[in-house]
Amino acid sequence: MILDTQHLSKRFGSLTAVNQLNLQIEKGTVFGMLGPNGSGKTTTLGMVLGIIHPTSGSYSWFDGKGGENPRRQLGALLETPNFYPYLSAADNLKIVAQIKRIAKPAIDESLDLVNLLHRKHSKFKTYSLGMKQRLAIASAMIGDPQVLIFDEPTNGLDPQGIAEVRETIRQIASTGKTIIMASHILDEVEKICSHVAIIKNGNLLATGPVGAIINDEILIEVGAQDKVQLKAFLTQLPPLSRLEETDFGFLLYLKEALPTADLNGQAFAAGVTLTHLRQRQKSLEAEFLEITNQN
Amino acid sequence: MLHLIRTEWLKWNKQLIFRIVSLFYIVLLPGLLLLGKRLPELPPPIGTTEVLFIFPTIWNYQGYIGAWLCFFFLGFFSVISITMEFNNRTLRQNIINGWSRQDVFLAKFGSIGALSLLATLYYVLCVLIIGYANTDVVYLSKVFQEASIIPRYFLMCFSYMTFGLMIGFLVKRTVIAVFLYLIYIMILEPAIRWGVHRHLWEHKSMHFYPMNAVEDLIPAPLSPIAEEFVEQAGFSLFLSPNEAVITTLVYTSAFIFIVYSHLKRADL
Repeated sequence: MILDTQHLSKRFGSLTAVNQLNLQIEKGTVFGMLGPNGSGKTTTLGMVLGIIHPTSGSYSWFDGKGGENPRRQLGALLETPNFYPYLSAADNLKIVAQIKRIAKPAIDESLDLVNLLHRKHSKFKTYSLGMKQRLAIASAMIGDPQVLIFDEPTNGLDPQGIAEVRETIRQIASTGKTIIMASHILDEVEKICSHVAIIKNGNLLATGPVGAIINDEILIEVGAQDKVQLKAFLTQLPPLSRLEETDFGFLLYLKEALPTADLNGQAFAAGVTLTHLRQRQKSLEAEFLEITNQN
Repeated sequence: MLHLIRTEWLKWNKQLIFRIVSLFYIVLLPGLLLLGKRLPELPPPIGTTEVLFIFPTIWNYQGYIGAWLCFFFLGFFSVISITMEFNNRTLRQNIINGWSRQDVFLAKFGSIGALSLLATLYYVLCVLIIGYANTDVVYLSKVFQEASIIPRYFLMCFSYMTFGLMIGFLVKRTVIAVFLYLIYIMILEPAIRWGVHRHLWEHKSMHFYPMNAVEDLIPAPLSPIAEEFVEQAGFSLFLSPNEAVITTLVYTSAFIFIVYSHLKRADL
């Protein structure tokens, strides 16, 4: 186990930012913490990174076998990239290496990984936001830690920057490292993560492999001119679990697969002419909204 | 500990403000004393300016100049060295990267200790060079007659910077912290001592305030006012060196403890 939190809670005055959070993160997973802004993701990471004291509960890194200070074996970026503005990228990374007690840090390699080697000697304050974010990733990679923690790594970046950062994280993940990533962007978590925990108002709503959280219901969008007739036809379909009215017609939730060609044929036979027919995967977004609304 | 100080050095050595502050200290410490060469003479009863440059009195004059420079430049640097870490959020990043809060504490106090030591060594160097160049007949016993001032100089320097660190840690914002540091030492504490304390109780206890004790580690030379004060109030204007040392040690330890317990408890 990489990280284990037990009933981790943090209150700021009357506000409960994190409530009794139990998270278990296994080695090698890409773990997404998903939740809207202000849901307690950063507070949770702040606690396990030692900058915020939990009000109650506990956490342990590496089953307590990480030595006197396990944070040295992590690479972490919390909220914003924090560096000394008057120092160059290389000097900033030297400080990180000193703190992590790494005698011969691979500074050039880390900078190369995020395409910043050519700006090695530029001062941090001259960097664009995207470059700062990338430097933070390079900094997290110093000392080749087995666990990386990213908090909203694509926040504030332009589309190209977002694509670059995601690509970098995917590359890192493919080397077998454990990654913990907080994000409010579902798409990001869906594309990058293997496991997900959904958090809202400091409460853990759901956790598990992304595939398990996205249940395997099949969704089909159906539309027709006569909605009443269409509804009558759809409700008598045997694999139907649920029906949802939408702007184009209805969204069908099916318990088992039904080829769209068959559905079209049956509808035609029943005298309903479909104007819209499309099968879709239920997205994490839909799942997320569903889970957060239920709570 | 050395490892921690080296890390702080990496943060400081390319910082413009650190370079400016160091330059001012290095140039002004002997520079201001040597300006005395251009004075025609000192107010009576001293007369000749020679005392500024010869053993053993040079220890006190050079020390007094150093005390002002330490208060102003090194104390100021100490305040901003910590507030800038808060502004850039680098202190919390240091912890995320693997420092314990104790490491932060030791790094900060270790590095101001090292800086105080360097400032003190430079002071001794200036005194020895200027003193030897200006004293006609040099007796070793005369040279080091006042050398007990050296550890007090170190304590003075370290205590100003400790006070600066404490304000920086508690206030966090650069402008307010620097303002508070200067205002407390130059206006607030003197106002409390002279305006309130003396008014309520004209007693020697009015001198036992933290920054006054630090000032009295290196008492002001040539003070006719001091004699006047003794006649008027019935007690000395200054703390004795030993009183100043003990008072400073007590307050400085308290400030260190405040920073330590604050750092241990705070969410960063």
